[in-house]
Amino acid sequence: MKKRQCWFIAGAMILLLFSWWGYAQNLDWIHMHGLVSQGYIVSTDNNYHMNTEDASVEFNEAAINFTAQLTPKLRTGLQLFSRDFGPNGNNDLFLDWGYLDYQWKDYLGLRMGKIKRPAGFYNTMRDIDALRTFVLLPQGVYDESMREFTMSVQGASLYGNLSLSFAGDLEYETYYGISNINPDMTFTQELFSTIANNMGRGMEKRLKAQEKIPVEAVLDPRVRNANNKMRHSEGISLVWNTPLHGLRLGTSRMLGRTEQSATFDFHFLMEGETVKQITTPFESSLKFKALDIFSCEFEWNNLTLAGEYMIMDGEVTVDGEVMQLIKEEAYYAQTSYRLFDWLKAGAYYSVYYPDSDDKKGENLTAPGQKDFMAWQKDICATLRFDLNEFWLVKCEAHLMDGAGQLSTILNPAGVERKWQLYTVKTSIIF
Amino acid sequence: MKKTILYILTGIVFFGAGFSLFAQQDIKVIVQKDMALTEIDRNTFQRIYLGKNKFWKDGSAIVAVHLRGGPAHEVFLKDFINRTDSKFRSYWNWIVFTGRGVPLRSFENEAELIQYVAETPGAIGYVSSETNTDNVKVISVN
Repeated sequence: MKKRQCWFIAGAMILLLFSWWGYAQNLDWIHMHGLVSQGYIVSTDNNYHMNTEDASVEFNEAAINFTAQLTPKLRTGLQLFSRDFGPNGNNDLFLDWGYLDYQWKDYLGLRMGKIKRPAGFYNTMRDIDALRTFVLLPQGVYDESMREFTMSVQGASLYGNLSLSFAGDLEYETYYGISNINPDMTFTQELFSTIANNMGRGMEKRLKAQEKIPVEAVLDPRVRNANNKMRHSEGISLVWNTPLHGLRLGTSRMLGRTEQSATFDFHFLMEGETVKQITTPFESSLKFKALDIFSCEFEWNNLTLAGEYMIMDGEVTVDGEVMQLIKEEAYYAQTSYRLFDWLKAGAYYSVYYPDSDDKKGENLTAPGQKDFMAWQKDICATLRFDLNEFWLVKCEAHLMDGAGQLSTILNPAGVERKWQLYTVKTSIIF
Repeated sequence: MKKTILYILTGIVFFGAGFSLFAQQDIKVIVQKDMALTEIDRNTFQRIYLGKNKFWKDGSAIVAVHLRGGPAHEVFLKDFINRTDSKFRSYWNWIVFTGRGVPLRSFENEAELIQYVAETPGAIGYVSSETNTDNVKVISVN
């Protein structure tokens, strides 16, 4: 077990004992809550986020949080979190959020520490299964493979809520911070793989053309000393709770820059079955120029309607040169209805384009690429059963068209256009 | 004919208003006796229970408390908060699990809630209209 995990567990145990002592002493200023969830996920034809074709139970979360109102204006708290999501998470324990919060007035407060980033209406709650109808949030806007980029930062935020009297109220938050990103996450590995393949092809050409060396094939490069760090990230979120009860409109913008570094070992298969190794370090950066989300939600009694539109503009730079421009687009519309206290039904239609300038895949001409990798359309239907106040079960089906969000690492044999995904998940919250 | 329609519409409006007033009077909103507050507007009352208003006008902290269930709690949710019980719980779970606040204190019965409000500076709560509230001050919600 890593040293960091030991510290977290030790810290959690101390807080747990402290909370128990507080409970025993009837101290009502310290609060403890938690959740545990476990899912099962299976797909036809393609692997989605994990090895879903063979079915997977590497799909769980557990969290425990503590909050204390130290003075009327000063609050502190933290949440320890563990998740397994296929190759990501692996149930390592980490600090999900933890900060000091000084609220001067209702319209102005300051948080310092590790803070959740508001992006769209549902980013802050994406790990808390019990807070939503669906098992998977619409992946076009809330891509799980991008979670570590969008979830939280270590820094500070200014926030508040301003009453507009007859015009409703306005919630706002702006933040700035940095974060460490696990280099083992699928998204980073995909990025390294793309960069390595590009560099490998360049080297092969150079060996053949300039040095007249006969190369038969480029073998899979090995990645060592991988590092991924978010140098800075900032954002703003505005939510207008309109005077029409249940209707809220919002917009958020996220900016940032991450830097990656690693050492690649390239292996070239030469004539005569010999292998030539070339080792080269590289540095890259992924810059989010803007990740904008526009949101709308309407709640009326047991009915909820929602829709969001996301557009992301960014670029990948390798060794100082722009290698790839990113222009993603996604949107969805969803509805849910509580039929009984114990049963809620929901559905959504979600669309994602990895390149908003090529929605039909006309530019995907490289070997192994198919036009349907230019989109991913998802029709989802869910049933949520609330067995009691603390325990719930969800069953969900997805009809998919396209492979725009599928990992090439998880699907080395290629991808299919039409596929389905099914999942069952249960959660306990207290 | 026009007059008949006018009478019907007027009747509906007055019936609706009367029903609404009747429904609102099913609960009494209470604060500590020492507080100068005598009334509160409906918007502020709702904002308090959604964690958006945390301070009284004099800058002191608001301590909002609620019942865990029962007829008074149902009236409170339906007529003042405009949310179902599950949505109200879900909203507060979101606040708690994203670190945006501490949960509201809740009580199984009205006697305990009244006692807490009576003893706690800045506290606000509600009970059914028939309940004895001699130890606390009843304020109106406009």
